[in-house]
Amino acid sequence: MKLKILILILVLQCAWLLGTVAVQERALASGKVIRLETCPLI
Amino acid sequence: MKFGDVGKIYEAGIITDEQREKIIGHFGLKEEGGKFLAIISIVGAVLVAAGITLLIAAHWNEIPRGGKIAAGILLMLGAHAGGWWLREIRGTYRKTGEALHLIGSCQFLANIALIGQIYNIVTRAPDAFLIWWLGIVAMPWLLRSRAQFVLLLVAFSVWFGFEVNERGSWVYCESERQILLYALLGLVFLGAGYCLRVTNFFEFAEVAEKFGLVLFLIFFFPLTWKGFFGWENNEMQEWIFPVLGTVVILLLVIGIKNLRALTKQWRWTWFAALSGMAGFMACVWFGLWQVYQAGGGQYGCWEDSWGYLAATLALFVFCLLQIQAGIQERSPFLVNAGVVFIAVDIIAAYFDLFGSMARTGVMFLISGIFLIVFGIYLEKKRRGLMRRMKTTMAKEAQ
Repeated sequence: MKLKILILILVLQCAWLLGTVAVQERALASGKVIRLETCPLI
Repeated sequence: MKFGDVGKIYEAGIITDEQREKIIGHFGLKEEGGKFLAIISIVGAVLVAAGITLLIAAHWNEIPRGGKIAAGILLMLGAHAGGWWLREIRGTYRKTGEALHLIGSCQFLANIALIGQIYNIVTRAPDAFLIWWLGIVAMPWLLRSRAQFVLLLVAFSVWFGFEVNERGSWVYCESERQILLYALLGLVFLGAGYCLRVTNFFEFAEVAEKFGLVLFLIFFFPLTWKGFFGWENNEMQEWIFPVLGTVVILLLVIGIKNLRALTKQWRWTWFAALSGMAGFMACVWFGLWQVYQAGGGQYGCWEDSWGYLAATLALFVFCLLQIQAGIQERSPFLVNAGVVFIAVDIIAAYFDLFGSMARTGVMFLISGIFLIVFGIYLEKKRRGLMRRMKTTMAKEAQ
């Protein structure tokens, strides 16, 4: 029982980490790329 | 007693071979030959760890995102798995197992930071600590680990500190008055510790009480400084203090009866001392000590308010009561912390009373002599108390 709860906690920790990674990866893959125009100062 | 000492006694012919073996066996003495090897091994291990860290740091940008995240998560899971195996399955190296679980819980924060760094996530800093705290909140209760409980208290305190300093936060406090919130948080932990004494998790009570009392004393102490405090900045959420204060009083009301070593009269005295300090801090928080400088100074000035002298006196009396409570509770920690904070309180008063050259000279003389005499008296008293406590504990153990 104790081991099952520990595993559940670790699964939740990993789920949060991997969920954040998934959201960020999706944003990187499907997000609109905005290129900033730059030009030399002189 | 060392292994080598027993050998010398044997060589002098004072004990027989059989007695030597008995002494070594009884005290579990081991031959001191491996110290050099141990030191060399530690230095070697530190060098290896530093080398690996530098190698990873040097190639950080070339390591794929997935590799970094996978390594972080595997380290976290591996630490917990190792900790579980050592503590619960093998059962021999329980402390090492507890340390591995602690590393695993810290690794969770490291992973949150790692993901934030990899994806340049710009968000509120307190949220990262709140998620860390939420992620580890069940660990101490599940693993019955004091180390995890300390980490939980630290995580909560760090989150609270960040939240108080975060502009726009629901507990935002720009002013120096935020130290009052930290001191009050210490009293919350202390009250929670008293309540924990009669629960199934009574082993956490001591940790919460010690952590809370130290937090309270550390953050109350700056109030005794003449030039530290002020009410200059009003950008803050005023409601947080009364809410926290109510929590403190509630926890103390519920938990104070669990101090069974104290007499009823002393329970009330200790309760009055703790709530009195909370009340004093409330007066400071709401600016009751505030005085305005002559000539229409815009801001209240702590230096002119004599509030620092009241705080010095309050801390002094509180520490004396704490020492008395510590003697009744047979707690060396309460006595020692009380003595230490009386000493620093006197030092603060010493600097607060600086003035003209003549006045400072007189103050130097009087307070210097007082400090030396009082220091010797306190140290003698403290040693006597510690000796008495140890003797009583030894008698009880027999």
